[in-house]
Amino acid sequence: MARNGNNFVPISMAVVLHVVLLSSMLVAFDFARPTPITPMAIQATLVTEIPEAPPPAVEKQPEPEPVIEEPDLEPDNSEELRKQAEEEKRVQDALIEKDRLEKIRQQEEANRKRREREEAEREKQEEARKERERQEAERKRQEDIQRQRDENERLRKELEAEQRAEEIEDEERRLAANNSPAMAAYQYAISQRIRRNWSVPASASPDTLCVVNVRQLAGGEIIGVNIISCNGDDAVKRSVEAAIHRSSPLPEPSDPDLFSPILELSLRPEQQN
Amino acid sequence: MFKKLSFAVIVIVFAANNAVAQKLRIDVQGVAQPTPVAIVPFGWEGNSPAMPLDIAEVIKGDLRRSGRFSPIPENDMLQKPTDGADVDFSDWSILGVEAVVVGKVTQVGVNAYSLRFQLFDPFRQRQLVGYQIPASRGTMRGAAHRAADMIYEKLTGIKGVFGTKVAYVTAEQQAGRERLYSLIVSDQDGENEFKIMESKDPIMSPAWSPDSRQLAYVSFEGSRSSIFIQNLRSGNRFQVSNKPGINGAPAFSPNGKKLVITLGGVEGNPDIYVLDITSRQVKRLTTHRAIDTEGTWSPDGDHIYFTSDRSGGPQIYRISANGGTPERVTFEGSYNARPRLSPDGTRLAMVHNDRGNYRIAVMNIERKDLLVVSAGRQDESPSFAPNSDSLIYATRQSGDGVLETVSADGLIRQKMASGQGDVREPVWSPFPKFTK
Amino acid sequence: MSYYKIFAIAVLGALLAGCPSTPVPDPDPSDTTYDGGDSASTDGMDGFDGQDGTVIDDPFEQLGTVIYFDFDSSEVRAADQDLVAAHAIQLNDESFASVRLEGHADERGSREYNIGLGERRAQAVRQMLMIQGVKASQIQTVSFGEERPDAMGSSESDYARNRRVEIRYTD
Repeated sequence: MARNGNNFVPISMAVVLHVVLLSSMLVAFDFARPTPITPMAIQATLVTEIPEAPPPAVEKQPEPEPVIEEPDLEPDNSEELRKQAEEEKRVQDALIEKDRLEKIRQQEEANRKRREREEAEREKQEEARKERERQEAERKRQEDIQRQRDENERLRKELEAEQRAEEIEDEERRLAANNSPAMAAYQYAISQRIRRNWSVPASASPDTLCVVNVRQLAGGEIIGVNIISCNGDDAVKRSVEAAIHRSSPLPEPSDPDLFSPILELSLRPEQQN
Repeated sequence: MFKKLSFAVIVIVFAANNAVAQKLRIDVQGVAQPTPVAIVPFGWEGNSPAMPLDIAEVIKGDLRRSGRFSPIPENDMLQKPTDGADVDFSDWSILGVEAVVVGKVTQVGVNAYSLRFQLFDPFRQRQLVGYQIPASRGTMRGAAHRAADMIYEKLTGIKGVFGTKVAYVTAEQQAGRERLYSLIVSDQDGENEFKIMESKDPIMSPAWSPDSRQLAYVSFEGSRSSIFIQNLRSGNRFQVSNKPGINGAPAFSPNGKKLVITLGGVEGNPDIYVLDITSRQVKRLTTHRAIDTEGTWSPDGDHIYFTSDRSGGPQIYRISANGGTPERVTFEGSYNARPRLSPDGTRLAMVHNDRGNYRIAVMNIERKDLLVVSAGRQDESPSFAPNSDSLIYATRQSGDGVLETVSADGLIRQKMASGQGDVREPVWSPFPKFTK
Repeated sequence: MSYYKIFAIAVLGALLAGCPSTPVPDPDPSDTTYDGGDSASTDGMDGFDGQDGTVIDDPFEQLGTVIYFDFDSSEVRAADQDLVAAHAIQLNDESFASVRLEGHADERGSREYNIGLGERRAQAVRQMLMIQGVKASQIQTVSFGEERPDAMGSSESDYARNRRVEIRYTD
């Protein structure tokens, strides 16, 4: 119970972190959705924004020179003045319109650029998402494989344990048989039979040792003789083969369980003192 | 699917492991014994009802006498082929023989024959050697020995000595106290005895020249000892040493030009001398007042080994062939005499007193260990075969002197059939240096 | 050294046998109390009272010619020394007489070494003769080792019979 309390905080932190991670993933999804384009249509505000972008000075209308006239006469140039004022207003309007169009152009340019950026961004996000999905899928696949492996491992260990238990049983039985007088007698009988039939040649030295695999059938009949190693000359090898063949059939054990179809014989000269 | 496959693999592996673990291990300690072989009676094709010589018997005798082989009796043979093609290997592997020899003698002319033989390994089922030797009636025995040599060499890797000779002395009782002494040369199996010298006075210490053409020996004709060298072919002999007192124990040097001899002089103090055969000049090697005798050369010509009782009883010493200080060689036992080196220079045979019995012992010169190889009470005169693989020596059987051969390891002894009377002092010839 | 002892005993023996006319050299003064001389023998010797008269030799007795030796020995036994002396006398009497001393050994051991043993025995007898005045030129030695046994068997008594020196007159 105290143990559970100790684990509680880390566990909850872990949970929170996981939630955060997962939700951030979802939020990331949101970021990837495209935003609709909304052009700005308020012209009045445009005028106040003129100072931002200096208009391209294609044509600079000469500023109308203020007419400096003597005040004495008052010619009737109010029409002219009205026309001039109209002209000026027209020019001004034209300029304003130009600027307005320019601003619109720029705005659209900016919008376009922004859209492109956003598009690229979206694509990038899309790619990232796809990548994450791929990795996620891969991770899931690996998890599956690992789970499968673990399962196999478990099965194998189970099987092994079973086999080992069987082996130990067998071994114990075999040891009992091996150490039994009956087994010793069986080995001795074979050893003596071959010893009697073996004429060790004069070329054998005290170090001579030949190891031979012998296959026998249940009645002791020898069906295979295979010299594994032998450090003697041809005369020694011949004598070993002859000794074994002459000993067929080999003596049988008192207990059939002791029988072994394969024998490994080690032949060496008797050591003189 | 993967799960099932891996399971199956695991089961198979475990099953296999269990099968291997069942191998029963057995130790066998064998004793040296002569190798069983089968020499099948030879076939005969010729004018007379029987072949001039029983080849199989000669070969059997040679192989048996070497101590290394034990030919099986003819009655045990399941088949008696005379041609290799007729050999049924299962018939022979059952008998456990390690080699089978079959052969045939065919007459091809009035006194011309062909001796043909084949040697088989019945377990590997293949021919080891096959040969055809031309012969006349007179050389048939030599041809049989040559076949035995080839068979022996193939099976043991050692050069055969069946074509060599032995020389020995016999003493036959005559009327009264008289005895007739003879010096005989025969084949190494005792056949073809040839008397080269006889005397009513003792003959001693025959010695072969290295080319096998001459024998040196001591004769007591005229009631004094003197040394002769006799040519075997012609029978001519010449006296090489006739000094007052003892003239004895001659032995040839490896190049045949000198003899080591024993001279006693008027004062009767036997010492070792080297005699140049051509000039008859002698050079004295020992001066001790002890008995120094029985000199013999080492095969490399560097040393002379001899018997000396300067330490109280006979022991074996050696001295440089050019002279110097003798050094003692035997230290085991109270009596070691009559040294003879094996032709391969590795061993020294001697007469050794073994708990009251005089027996032949062989010492490995490097290891200095002594091996007693004979079992009599009065064994003497050991001589190595030229392949260093056997020794011949004299022993007593029911009071009579007889000859015996023993394998170099001392394990197999064989009596040798030899001449009449008391037989003694056998010496084995070198390998013949000329073809006869 | 021991030859002198042998001589003293030989002299004693000769005197006991009652042959005062035989010329013998003076005994070794370090030896027995007997002082040599004529028949009267009263100086502390027991059992020889009343030894008067002289012995007469058997004129048909042949001189023995074989001397036997102990195993592995070339020393002339006490029992044989007067025999050797007798031969010495004979040879000294006839300076043209000569002997061949034939030494022998029993069959045990190697033959040529036994030649040496037989020679040693012959030489022992030769030395003994020469000390008694026999000339070297009158003596020849030869050893037959075990080659000419007297007894053919292998028993100890056979061996004992074969360990010998035979004295053969060769003139």
